[in-house]
Amino acid sequence: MQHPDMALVTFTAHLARIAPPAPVDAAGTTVAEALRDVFTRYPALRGYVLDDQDRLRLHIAIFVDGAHVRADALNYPLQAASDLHVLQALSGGNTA
Amino acid sequence: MSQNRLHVATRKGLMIYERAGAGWTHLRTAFAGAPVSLSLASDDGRTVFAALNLGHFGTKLHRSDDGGATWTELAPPAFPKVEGAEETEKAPAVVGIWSLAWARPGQLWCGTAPGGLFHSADHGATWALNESLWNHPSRKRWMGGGTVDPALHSIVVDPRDPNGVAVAVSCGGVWRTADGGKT
Repeated sequence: MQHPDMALVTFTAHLARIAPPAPVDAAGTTVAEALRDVFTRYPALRGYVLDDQDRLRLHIAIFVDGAHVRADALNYPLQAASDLHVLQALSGGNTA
Repeated sequence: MSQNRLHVATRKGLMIYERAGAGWTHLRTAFAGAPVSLSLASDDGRTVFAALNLGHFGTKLHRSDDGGATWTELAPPAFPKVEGAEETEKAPAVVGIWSLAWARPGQLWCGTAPGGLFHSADHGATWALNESLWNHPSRKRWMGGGTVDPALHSIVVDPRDPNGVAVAVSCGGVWRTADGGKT
């Protein structure tokens, strides 16, 4: 059951080999803080989501409470009990 | 490739073949379905490195010490963290492993895109960027050859002297060191 003050983080099934097997609670007031909290428990996962400079990988998609966060996703604020999904983006085409 | 093993890196896995009479027989496939960009094996075929490019999830490096039967994921080469880099797109990050070579027993060189040369003194467990090449003034003129980033795609170690190394960058020329990468 989700902790009322923590975000619930769910990772794409494509990361099942190294990510938490089920949604996990994470502490933090931003996406970055919640992810960092998960990475302390799953250190190998970090490099799959963030790059060498701790930027979100280009084709990782972050959803918070059902909405796709398109800009500056790591700094996006979380509410108590936010629902955070880490998915792979469908990439291609030109967004310009 | 070792003398009696053939390691074929493909977009659908690493296929390992063993010499059998006049031909080759399929021994095993590792990372089935995953894009393996290259591999490097010891002469006896027991130690095998495999570099993966997982697209969304980045560049990965694995090592096997039993001929590819079981694998351990290693931390791949990574550029040093630049302060405040989360806020900028300019700081470098490895987007692909393009070359791997033995420096001497237990030590390796790795070439990446963007054009970084990395060295491991501990069998691939940890990597250090070769700063002397990375900080060379000419690097600012390097450019990608069919890719966005320049790639350090070839590493040749002098068999008579492991301090002698030549590397090639597309597009950034050929570079030689006679002192193990110091200059």
